[in-house]
Amino acid sequence: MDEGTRQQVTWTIILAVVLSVVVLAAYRRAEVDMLLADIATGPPAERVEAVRRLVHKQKLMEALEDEPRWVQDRAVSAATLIGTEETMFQLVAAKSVVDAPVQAEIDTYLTHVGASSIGPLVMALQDKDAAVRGGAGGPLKTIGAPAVASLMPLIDVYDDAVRGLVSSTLGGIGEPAIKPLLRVMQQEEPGPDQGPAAFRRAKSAAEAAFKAMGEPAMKPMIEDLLPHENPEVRLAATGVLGAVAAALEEDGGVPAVRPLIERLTEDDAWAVRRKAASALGGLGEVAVDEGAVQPLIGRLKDGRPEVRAAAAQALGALGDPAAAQPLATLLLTNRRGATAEIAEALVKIGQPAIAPLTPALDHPEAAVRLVAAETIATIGTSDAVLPLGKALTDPEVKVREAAADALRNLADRRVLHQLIAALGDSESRVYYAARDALARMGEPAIPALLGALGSANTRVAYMAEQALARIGGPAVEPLIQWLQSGSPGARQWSGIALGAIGEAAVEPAAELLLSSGAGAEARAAAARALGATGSHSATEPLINAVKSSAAPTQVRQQAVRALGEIGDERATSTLVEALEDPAREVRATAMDVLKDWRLGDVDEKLREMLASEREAAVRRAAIVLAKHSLAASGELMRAVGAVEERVAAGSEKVRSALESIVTDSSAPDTLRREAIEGLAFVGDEESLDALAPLLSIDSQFAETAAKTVGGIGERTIAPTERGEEVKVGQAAELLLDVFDAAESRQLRLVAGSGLALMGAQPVQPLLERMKSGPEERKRWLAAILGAIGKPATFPVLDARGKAEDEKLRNWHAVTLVMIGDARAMDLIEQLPKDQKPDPKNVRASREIYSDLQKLL
Amino acid sequence: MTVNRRTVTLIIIVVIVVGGVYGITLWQRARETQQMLSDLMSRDHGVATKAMTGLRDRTGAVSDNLISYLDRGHDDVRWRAAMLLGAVNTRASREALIDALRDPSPDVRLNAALSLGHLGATKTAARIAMLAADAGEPVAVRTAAVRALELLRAGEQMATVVEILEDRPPVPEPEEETEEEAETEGTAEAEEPAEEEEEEEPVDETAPLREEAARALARIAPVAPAAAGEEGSASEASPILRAADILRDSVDPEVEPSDVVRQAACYALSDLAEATADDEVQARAVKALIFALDDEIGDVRIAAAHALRLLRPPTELAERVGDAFDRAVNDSHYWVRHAARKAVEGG
Repeated sequence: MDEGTRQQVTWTIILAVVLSVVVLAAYRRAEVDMLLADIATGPPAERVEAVRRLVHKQKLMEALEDEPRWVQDRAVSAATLIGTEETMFQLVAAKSVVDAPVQAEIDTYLTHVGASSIGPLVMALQDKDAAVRGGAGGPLKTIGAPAVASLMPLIDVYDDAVRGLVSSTLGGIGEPAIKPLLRVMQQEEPGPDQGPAAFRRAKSAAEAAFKAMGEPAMKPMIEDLLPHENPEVRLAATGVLGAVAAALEEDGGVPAVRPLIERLTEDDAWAVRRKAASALGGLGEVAVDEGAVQPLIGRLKDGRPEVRAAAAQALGALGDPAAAQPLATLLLTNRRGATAEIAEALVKIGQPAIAPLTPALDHPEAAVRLVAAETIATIGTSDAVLPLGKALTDPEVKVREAAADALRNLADRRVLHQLIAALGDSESRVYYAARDALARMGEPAIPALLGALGSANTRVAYMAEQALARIGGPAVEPLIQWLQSGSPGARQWSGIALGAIGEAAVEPAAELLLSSGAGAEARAAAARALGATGSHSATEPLINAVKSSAAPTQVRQQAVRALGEIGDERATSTLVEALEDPAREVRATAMDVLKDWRLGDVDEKLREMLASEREAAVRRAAIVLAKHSLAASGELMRAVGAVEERVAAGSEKVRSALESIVTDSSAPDTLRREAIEGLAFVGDEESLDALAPLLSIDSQFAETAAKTVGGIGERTIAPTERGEEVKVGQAAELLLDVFDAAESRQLRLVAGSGLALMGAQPVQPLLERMKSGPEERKRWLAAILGAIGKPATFPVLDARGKAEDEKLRNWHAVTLVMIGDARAMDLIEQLPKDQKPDPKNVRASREIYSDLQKLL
Repeated sequence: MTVNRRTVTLIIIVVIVVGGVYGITLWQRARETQQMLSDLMSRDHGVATKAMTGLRDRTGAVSDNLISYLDRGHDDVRWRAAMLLGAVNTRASREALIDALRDPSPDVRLNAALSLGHLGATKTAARIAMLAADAGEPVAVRTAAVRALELLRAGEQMATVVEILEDRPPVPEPEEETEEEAETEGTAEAEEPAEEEEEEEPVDETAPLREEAARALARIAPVAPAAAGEEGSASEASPILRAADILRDSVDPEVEPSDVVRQAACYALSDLAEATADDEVQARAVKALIFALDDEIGDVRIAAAHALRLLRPPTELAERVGDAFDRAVNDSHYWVRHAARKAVEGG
C-alpha cells in the first residue's frame, strides 16, 4: 500500500469514527423523545417496549416530567404489563413528577400486585432523593402487615429522613407493627451488631412510630411498657402515651389518665414523674375530668425541682383555678428551678391567680416581686389594675416598668393618682407608660393632668401636656379654663397642649383671645395656643386681635407672633401694618416676624411703606427689606433659584434709610443695631462714612459695625481669578487703618473680625505688615489670617517661599497652623524640626484666634 | 515460522494469567449467585429485591434452583421464584409455572400468571382465563391474570375478558331532592334534622380489574376468532365490532360507574380502532369518544380527547368531530383544551 492510499484510509477511518460519534450522540438525544412519541401515539406493543427501554435506561421519571396527561397515563398502564421490580421502583420515583391522578393510578397498581411491590417500595424509601422517598410511604401503609418485616431493619438507619419515613410508615400500618416495635422499645442495651448510636436511633424511631400510630399504641404502652422495670422504658412509654392521648379527640385520652397519675405519684424515677406531669398537662380537660389536678398539686412539693416545674407547667396547661393558690405559695416558698414554669402556669390560670399572687408584691426579694408583677401584668384583666398600681411604687425599677407597661393599656381611674405620681418617675419607660395610660384613660384623667401642668418638675408638666394633647377634644374646654385660672407655668403648658390638639382647639381659643372680659395674660396665652395649632382657621381671629386697638399690647404682640408661626399669606398686610403699631413691642415683634416672612406681596407692601413719608415706618420697612435682600438670603438659596431679588428696585432708598438710622444717635439702640446689620446686605462703600465713626472703642456698635464693614467689603469687591492681583477695597482699607491705629485689644479684635469676613482681600496687606513691626503685632496678624482661612493658604505659602528671614518664615508657619487646612498641615508636617512653628507663638496666636472666633 | 523460547514463555504466561483471571471471575460470580439465591429467601423484601435484580441477568444459570424454590420454599420465596421464571423460557419453567397457578399463596399465583404471559405461553391461556374469571380469587390475582391474557393476546379468551368488563356494580342513583325534603327545607324542623347515618358508598373493589380488562379487550379482540363474537346478526359476529360496542358501553357513565374504567375504555377504543382499517369500528369508536368528551370527570375527557385525536374519522363524522373539538377547546380542564387545540391545529 503506497503512502497516499494509506493516508486516505486513515482519514476515512477518522471521519467514520467522528461521524459515528455524532450520529450516536444525536440519536441518544432524540431517543427519549422518540420513545415518548411511541407512548403517546403508538400501538400497545410499541408502548410496552418503549416503557421497557426507558426503565432499562433508568429514565422513566425524567421522561415523564412535564409530559401531557395521556403520555403519563399510557406509560403507567404499559409499565403494569412489564411488572418487574425495577419497573415498580421507577414508577415510585416517577410519582414525584406526574399529575395527582396518575400518582393515584400508580399507588393503585402498587397496592394491587401483592407482596411484589414491597421490595421496590422499601428501596425507594431509602433513596437519596427526597421526592422518590416521599412516594413510597403511602403504598406501604396500604399494604400493611406484609411490609413490616422489611421496614423494621431500617428503624436504626443513620439517615434521619429515611428513619422518619420508616417511623411514620410503621405508625400508619398500625396494629401489625406493634409487636416488633415493642421489642425495640423494651430493648435495654444495643444488640450484637448494633452500636450505641444505632440503639438510640432505633428507640427514638420506635417512639415516633407509636406516636404516629395514635390510639392503637395506648394499650401496649399501658400494659407492656409502663410496668417495665427499666425506668428508661417507662420514661419513653410515658412520653408516647401522653403524646398519643393528647392527640385523640374528645374522650379518647381517658384510658391514659390513671396510668399517668400512677407514674406521677408512684414512680421512683423523677424523670418519669416529670414526663407524666407533662403528659397530663397535655391532656387538658380530659385530665381535669379524670382527677389529675390534685395529684399534680401534690407534686408541687416533689423533692426534685424538675418535677415541680413540670407539675406547675401542667397545672397551667390544665388551667384549673384550684391550682392558683398552691402555685402562688410555691412561688413564695420554693420557687428555685421552677420560677418560669410557675409564672407561666399562673398566667394560663388567669384572673383567679391574681388574688393569690398579690401578696407576692410585698415579698422582700425583688425577683419574686418582679415575677408577680410580670405575671399579673400578663394576665392583664381588670382585677390586675390595683395590684399593678401598687407595683408602680415599687423601689425596684424593673417591677415599676413591668407594672407601667401593663397599665398602659389597662389602667382606669382606680390608679389615677399612682399614674400621676409615676409621671415623676426617674425611669423614662415608666413615665412614658404612665403618660400613655393617662391619655388612654381620657376624661377622668383631665383634672389630675391639669393639676400636673403646674408642676415645678418640668418633665411632669411636659408629660401631662402630652397626655392632654392626646386626649384631644374633651380636654379643650378644661384647658381653656386653665388658661384663665392657672399659674403662669400651667398657662404656658396649657397653651402648648391646645396647640398640639390642633383644629379642635381653635374656636374656643379664638373666643378667649377676642374676649374683652378676659385677662390679658389669658388672652395672650390663647394667642400663643392658636399659633401653636398651625391652623389657618386661626388666622382670622388673630388678625382681628392685632387690629383691635382695645386689645392689650401683650395680646397684640402674641397675636403677631402667632401669625408668624402659622404662616398664612392672608396675614401679610396685617403684619406689615403692625410695623406702625403704637406699641414698640408690637412693632418690634412684627419686624422680627417679617424678617423671615416671604409670603404674598410682602416686599411690595414694604416698598410702599418705604415710599411713604412716615419716617418710623420707612426705617422699619428698610430694615426688613434689607433682611429680604439676596445677600441676606444666602449664596446657596441664590444658587438654586429659591430666592428672587426682591429689593432691586428701591435698594438705594433702603440703604439711605438705613444709613440715616445708623447716624441718628437719637434712634433706639435696637433699631440702630438692626440698621447696621441690614447695611451688611444692602450697603456699599458710601455707607462706610456712616459706619466708620462707630469703629471706636467707645462705641457699643463697634463689633456689629466691623462685621458689616467686612460684609460690605466682601460683597462689593468682585472675586478675582487665581493668580490675578486681589484688589483691596475701601472697606478693607478702613478696617486695616482701624487695626493699625488700635491701641486696645478689644478694638483690634473688632477690626480683625471684620477683616476675617473679607476673604482674600486683606491677605496681602496683612502679610506685608507681618514683614516688619513688633512681634506682639505679628501674633495678631497670624490669628487674623488664620481666621480668614483657606483664601490665605496660597499667599502665605508663597510669602514663606520668598521670605529669607527665618523668624518671618517661622511666623508664616505659625500662620499656617492657624489656618489649619489640609495643605497647610501637610507643609507643617514636612518641615524640618528647626523650622517648626515656635510653640510659644502658636499658643499666643491661638488665644487671639479663639477670641476672634467668638466675635464671628 | 520460528518462535524463540522467550516468546513461547511469554504466551504461556499470558494464557495462564488470562485463564486465572477468568477462573477467578467465574468463581466470584458463582459466589455472588449463591449469595443472591440465599438473599432471595430473606424475609426482608428489600434484600430480596436487590437479589432479584441481580439474578435477572443469570436466570438461565439458576433456573433449576428457581424451579425447586417454586416447589418447596416459603411463600415469599415461591412468588419471587415465579416472578424470575418469567425470564426463563424453558419447558421445565413453563410447567413449574403452570403448577404454580394452583399454589395456595395468591402472590405465587399472581406472579405465575404474569410470568406465563411474559413467556408467551399461549397454551396456558385457558388456565389463566379460569383464574381471571374466578370470583373467589383476590382482585390482584385476577388483574394479573387479565394482564397475562393481554400479553398472550389470547383472542379465544375474549369472552372471559368481556365477562369481567361487564361485571360491574350498578351505577349509584343520582341524589335527588324529594318534594318533601324541599318543603321542609328552611323550616324549624329542618334545623333539627333526624340523625341519619349516612350510608357509605360501597367500595368498587373490581374497578382495577375492569380497567385492566378494558385495556386487554382492545388488544385481544383484533385476534379473536369470529366464534368469540356474539351469536346472532352477521355484523355482530365480528369480535372487533362487538369489542367496540362493549367499550362504548364502558365509557357511558350511566353504565360504568368507575371513572378509572371509563378513562381506560377511552384509551382502549383508540387502540382498537388503530388495529383495524374497518370504517365501522372507526365510526363507533369516534361516536363513543365524542360522547365521552362530555363526561363530568376531567380525566375521562382527557383520555377521550387524546384518543379521538388519534383516530381517522369517516368523512360523514368529520364535522361532528370538528364540533366536538371546538367545544373542547373551551373545556375547564387544561389537558383537554391542550389536546383539542392540537387536534384543531393538526398537531
